[in-house]
Amino acid sequence: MRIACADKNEEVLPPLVIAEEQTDMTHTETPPLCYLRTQRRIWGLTQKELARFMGINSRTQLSRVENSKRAPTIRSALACQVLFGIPPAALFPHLFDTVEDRVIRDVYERHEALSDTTSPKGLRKRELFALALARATINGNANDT
Amino acid sequence: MTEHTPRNLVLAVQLFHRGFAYVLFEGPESPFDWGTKEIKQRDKNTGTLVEAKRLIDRYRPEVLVIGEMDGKATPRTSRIRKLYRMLVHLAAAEYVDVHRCSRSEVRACFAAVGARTKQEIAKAIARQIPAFAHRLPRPRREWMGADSRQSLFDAVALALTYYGRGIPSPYADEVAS
Repeated sequence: MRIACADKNEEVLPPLVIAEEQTDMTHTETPPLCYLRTQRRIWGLTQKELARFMGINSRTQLSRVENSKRAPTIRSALACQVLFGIPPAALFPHLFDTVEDRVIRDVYERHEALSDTTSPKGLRKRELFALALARATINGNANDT
Repeated sequence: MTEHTPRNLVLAVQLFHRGFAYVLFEGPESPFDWGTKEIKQRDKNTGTLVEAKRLIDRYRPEVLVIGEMDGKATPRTSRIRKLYRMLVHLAAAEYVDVHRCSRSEVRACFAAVGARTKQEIAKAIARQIPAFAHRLPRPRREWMGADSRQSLFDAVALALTYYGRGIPSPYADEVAS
């Protein structure tokens, strides 16, 4: 992914636009990626057992999370990290991408809006935004290769 | 940010008389999904094809690996042979590459680890991929029917044989660019 921060007039890059259109997880052409079901089956857990670990009441709800029809709660995602030792970003990569796309879009806009700032607070924020954009670029390049 | 969809998925299918076993791999040691489907309806071929299409629609694999059915030495019923042909047509219609692995090729692939029989191959797979270890079927006696879990290991063996060929992904260039 390429993110340009220098020119104010530069258009928002296509990947961000495409990502926004695909935020509805139930209507993507290719299935959203989720490794929860894979991990559960690798370790021989039943849906009922995993649902209990994740603090989910029913198998149906877990099934929706496994099939990316529903996002897990932060408690459930952290429970998965405790159980499998895999961070939520790796366990629910599609969900992470969706969130990252939205946040980076906002960050980019705020970064541009603060381009003329001279206040220490504004400069500090801009530094944070630049770091976030750089991280997103590095992550994007790593995923591309 | 890139779209995280399963890439380079390889789907291996092993048919048996009650249905089929399937396994999807992201890489030689990374199974993504697997299972057996028993088809209970009268027309098993149609039911199998419907389930296979559902799998392909769901995961969009790049490659379908099936057993080689052309050899005369392959004891399969005409229904299963026909079903393999139908699967090949289905894969072609869905733009999925089809690779066939003969039984001798599978045996040659696992001969390196000293596995010759189906049971030995299943044990070798369980050692290599712990995800399947707890699904290992019990040793089959002469009076016992075929265990559907054995078909799952047969499907895994097909996929690993395919990976052993070292064929690059048909879309490797597109992914790289």
